[in-house]
Amino acid sequence: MSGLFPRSPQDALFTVQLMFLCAVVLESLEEFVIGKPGGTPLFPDEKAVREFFGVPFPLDLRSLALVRIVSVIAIFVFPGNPVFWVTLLAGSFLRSLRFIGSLNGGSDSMGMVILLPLAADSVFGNHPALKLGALYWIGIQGILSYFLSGIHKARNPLWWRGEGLGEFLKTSRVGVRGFMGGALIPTWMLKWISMGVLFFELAFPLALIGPDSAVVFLGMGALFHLGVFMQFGLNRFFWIWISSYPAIYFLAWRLNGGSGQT
Amino acid sequence: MKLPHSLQYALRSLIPSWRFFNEIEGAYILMVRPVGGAETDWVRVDPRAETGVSGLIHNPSGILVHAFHNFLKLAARDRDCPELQEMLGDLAEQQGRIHFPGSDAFETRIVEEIR
Repeated sequence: MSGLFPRSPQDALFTVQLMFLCAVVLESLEEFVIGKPGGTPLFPDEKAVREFFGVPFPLDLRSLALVRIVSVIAIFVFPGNPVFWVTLLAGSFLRSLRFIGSLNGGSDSMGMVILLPLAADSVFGNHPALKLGALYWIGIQGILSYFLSGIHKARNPLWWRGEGLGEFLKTSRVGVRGFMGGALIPTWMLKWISMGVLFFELAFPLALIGPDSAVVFLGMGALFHLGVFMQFGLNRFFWIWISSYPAIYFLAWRLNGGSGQT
Repeated sequence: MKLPHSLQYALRSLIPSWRFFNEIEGAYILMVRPVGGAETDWVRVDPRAETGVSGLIHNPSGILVHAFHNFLKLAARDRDCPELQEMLGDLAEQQGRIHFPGSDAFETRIVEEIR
């Protein structure tokens, strides 16, 4: 369990790397399946995307998924070799271009947030300060991902009244009818769930009060993403977000007097 | 100075934007019918996802659906980007051929589903 609650930059970064690389493999396997020849046609058209960005290389989703999977395997086989981190970064960036910015919205954003500092850490020779910088970047972005999302929701009065959440739960939004899709949810319950989401997101920076507080918020976060998966089918959010959790825990520990050796 | 669309979209893939479900809006739905078809010919052509517990580990249909809807949202919001609109036309044609075999020209609508 110490890996999940790391108290040194090395442990924290190692756990983030491990969880992130596993998430990349899961994502890439899905992309390998949907990119199969003769399957549902992908969009936008690859040729149109190449013309749009003016990039000469192929943007075939299967090839990009393969590049990412092979890069991850190579990182495990040749740890410390920066070439494969750069390959993973390039494959991930091209995949984003392939889908005009992102394949799956926020989960791709979080993937880039984690991947950029990990690749930088590997390329620039595992400098202790860079390790700390990478963890701070991932941890702070992880916290901001909840807090800023809460701020944006809080600006919308419909969220305070619970009506917004009701609409999301009722519609066949993003094509998925989730576990609450057909249920008639009482208005009072929608309001409480809605307020619960708002307060959870807005209060998330309190995770930095200390390691115990971090454990509570990260536990709630994992349950939150599990619920989002059950309702909207967003499985990628679960895996990629919890990859940032060791960095958030380390940040909370470090800011409260922890001083692991680098 | 306005950045070219291609650069804007490339940068967006690197810069995080932490906004999720803050705007209360309906889902975007792509409707297609053969050119000159009747009003009743409009067909919803977006793919549907399969759901289940195993989807937490492996959910290829889910990612397909989300990618489709992300693209529709972009196309619906960025109507002054001719490249995106052209891609939307290609997508509608691609999906239209599946639903209306034999037809090769289609009309397209993006409808915001509000219940």
